[in-house]
Amino acid sequence: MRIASRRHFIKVGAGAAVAFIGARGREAQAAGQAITSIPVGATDLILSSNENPMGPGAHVLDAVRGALGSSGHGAGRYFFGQQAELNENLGKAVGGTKENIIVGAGSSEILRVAADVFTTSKYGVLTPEPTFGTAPGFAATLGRPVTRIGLDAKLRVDLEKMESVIDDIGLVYLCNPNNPTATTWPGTDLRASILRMLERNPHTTILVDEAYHEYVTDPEHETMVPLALENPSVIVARTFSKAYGMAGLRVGYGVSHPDAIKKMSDWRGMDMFTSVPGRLGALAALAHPDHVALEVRRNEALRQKTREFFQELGFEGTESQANFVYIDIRRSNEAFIKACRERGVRIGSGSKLYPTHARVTIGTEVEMERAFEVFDSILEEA
Amino acid sequence: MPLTRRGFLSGSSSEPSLAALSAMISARGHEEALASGRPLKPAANDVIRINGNENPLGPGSRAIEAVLGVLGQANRYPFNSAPGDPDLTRQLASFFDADPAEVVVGAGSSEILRNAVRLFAVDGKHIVTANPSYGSPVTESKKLGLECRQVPVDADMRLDLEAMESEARGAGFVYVCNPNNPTATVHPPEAIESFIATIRGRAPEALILIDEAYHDYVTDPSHRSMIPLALTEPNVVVARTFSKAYGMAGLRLGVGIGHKDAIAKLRRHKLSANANVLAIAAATASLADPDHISRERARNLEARDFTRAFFDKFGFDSTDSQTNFLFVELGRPAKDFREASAKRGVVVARDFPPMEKTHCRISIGTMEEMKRACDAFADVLGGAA
Repeated sequence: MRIASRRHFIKVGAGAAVAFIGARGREAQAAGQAITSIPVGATDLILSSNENPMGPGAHVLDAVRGALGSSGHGAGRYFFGQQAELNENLGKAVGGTKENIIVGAGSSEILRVAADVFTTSKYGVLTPEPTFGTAPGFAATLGRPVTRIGLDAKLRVDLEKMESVIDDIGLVYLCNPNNPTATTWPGTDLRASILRMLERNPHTTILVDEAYHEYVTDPEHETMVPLALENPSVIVARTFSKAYGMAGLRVGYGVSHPDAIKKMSDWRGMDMFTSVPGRLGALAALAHPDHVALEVRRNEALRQKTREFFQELGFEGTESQANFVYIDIRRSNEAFIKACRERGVRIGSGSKLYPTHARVTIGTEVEMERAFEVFDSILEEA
Repeated sequence: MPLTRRGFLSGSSSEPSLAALSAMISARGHEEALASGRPLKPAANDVIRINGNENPLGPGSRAIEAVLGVLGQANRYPFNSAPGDPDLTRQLASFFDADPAEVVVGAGSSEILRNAVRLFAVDGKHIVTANPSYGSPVTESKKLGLECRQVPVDADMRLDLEAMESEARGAGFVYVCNPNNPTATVHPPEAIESFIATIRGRAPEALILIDEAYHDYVTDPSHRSMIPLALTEPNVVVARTFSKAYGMAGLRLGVGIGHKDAIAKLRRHKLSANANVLAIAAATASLADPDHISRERARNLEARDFTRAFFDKFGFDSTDSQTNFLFVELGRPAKDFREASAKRGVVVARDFPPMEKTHCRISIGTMEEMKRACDAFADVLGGAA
């Protein structure tokens, strides 16, 4: 029934979609809710890119429309008017100042800048594997050495092993929680490991990618932002693409000590790649932390439900701290991905290192119901 | 009734018209801030901003409709959205009569320029550009500590192609802005073709980047794009942007078109998911609406002629502009003129050394804006005479 109504909705087209979102936003606001439900434009379920399926919320969309000219938002006229404001508000949000912030077109831009600035042809990137590939990938494109270290038995980043090869490393990339395995390290352990790495090699820089930070519910998790604010050898990357639901608007940022921020800014130059609507959207998103809190709760409940679904079928996954699960389906992930695709469900690309693990992004409840049916039928067949 | 910002903002209608939306999306001051390296202060709403060479009306109504239509996909990466990255690349390829492998999308043409410099001005090879010209190659060279040879424009304010050729031996990157910003001059296609052939002989591996940001504003009938040549000639790339005639400076979208080998290199270095979903939607809709560009060209021409005639009448020469701005010889420091104009609510461009003591660049706004601006200029110039 729900599925049917969603299908019906997709048919009505883009113009109606906008009207729907607007109306839905007001409705949700009236009901005291901050989250709006946004349908996907494609007929396939997209559970492949760790996007927030609910979207950014009415406040962000209103701000984006403001950039297009709705009344009261003249700011859309001035390309750089909001840049200082965004840096300032981000600085405040992380407990620092604008000097601690570098904004980019997605955190990818920050990862790339760091991968270039902090490595040389001799001192390359140290990365876990598998992990999010942008930083090591760009370093490789630039001809910088890349040292890859496998995960531990619990599919966590193998901090101990990484520490042991720190000597000739320019940049250490740590994704916490790690993509695609959804695992985290407790704050105490991660901080201690970072400090040991810096002690052994004071010339290295540690880049902690906290793209999924907002989704973590483990009370032992800690952001490395406080460490980054005071230590120019530690950089934290954050994004509006995940819990904030703004992947399409391309805004991310880096947090560090002003010395490291200056180093990256000098090399990169001013932010030329983020858009006016993206920046206005980010400002609006920052002003509504309650919306992210709701999204985190929504995700946590469905994440649990998704893990239980697989457990009932006898498949275990890691203890996910992100908006996706990593499940051992005990068969070729390649074949599973293909079979899902054929049934209209796109899931994450599998790692060759874990050929029987599948990564599934947490969609909406309706989407997951449909996905479960598909997963069920495929896993039953084999 | 002509659209004015003041009228729009004070309007009581809660649903602004598409035309009004278009006017508002053209974000301003990009170039200015790039040059000065610091953010602009937002000006009062009735200030006439003719300093950034933007289309004062913004994107066409179809582009705005398209943006509104994809707001529901703000949560999707550009490779998952509809239209998405690949759709735009295919459409650009078909628009420029090229293969998708001959096209690279950028977050503004600035991304194309930046990556091109970084990829080709390597191993101690230098950069050749004109002076004054668009500043991105110079800015990049300073950041990276590269040698940049800035060849002065000739007495007619045109690129001195011959002098640039003689600086090209051993170069890694050669930048040609045609029409040239800030001098507004354009070179005949034969001159550019012969220039490319000469450079090819002297610096076979150099990337020749032809920046055609203002292509859509050219009215000289002899003008031709270098895209067809770029598609066949190795290491020639043409940069185009949606920030000028397409009115999308605030959305950040540009494109590089050229030989597939050079494009492959630029693609490897481009920021993944560089174009946002709003820009992709707006560009896709704009490409399908070529009338919008011809209307904008005609609108700009009328306001450009009006403004040029105004300066002529006052005895101030300007180059034969083929763009959406004028480069006017005022015979006084641009700074004085700029400050006096700003006091009268008109913001004109920054200094363009080495001509900052004599010349000023003035972008073309709407006809109504230019009439008001010229009233202010008359006041400024008359007062100083």
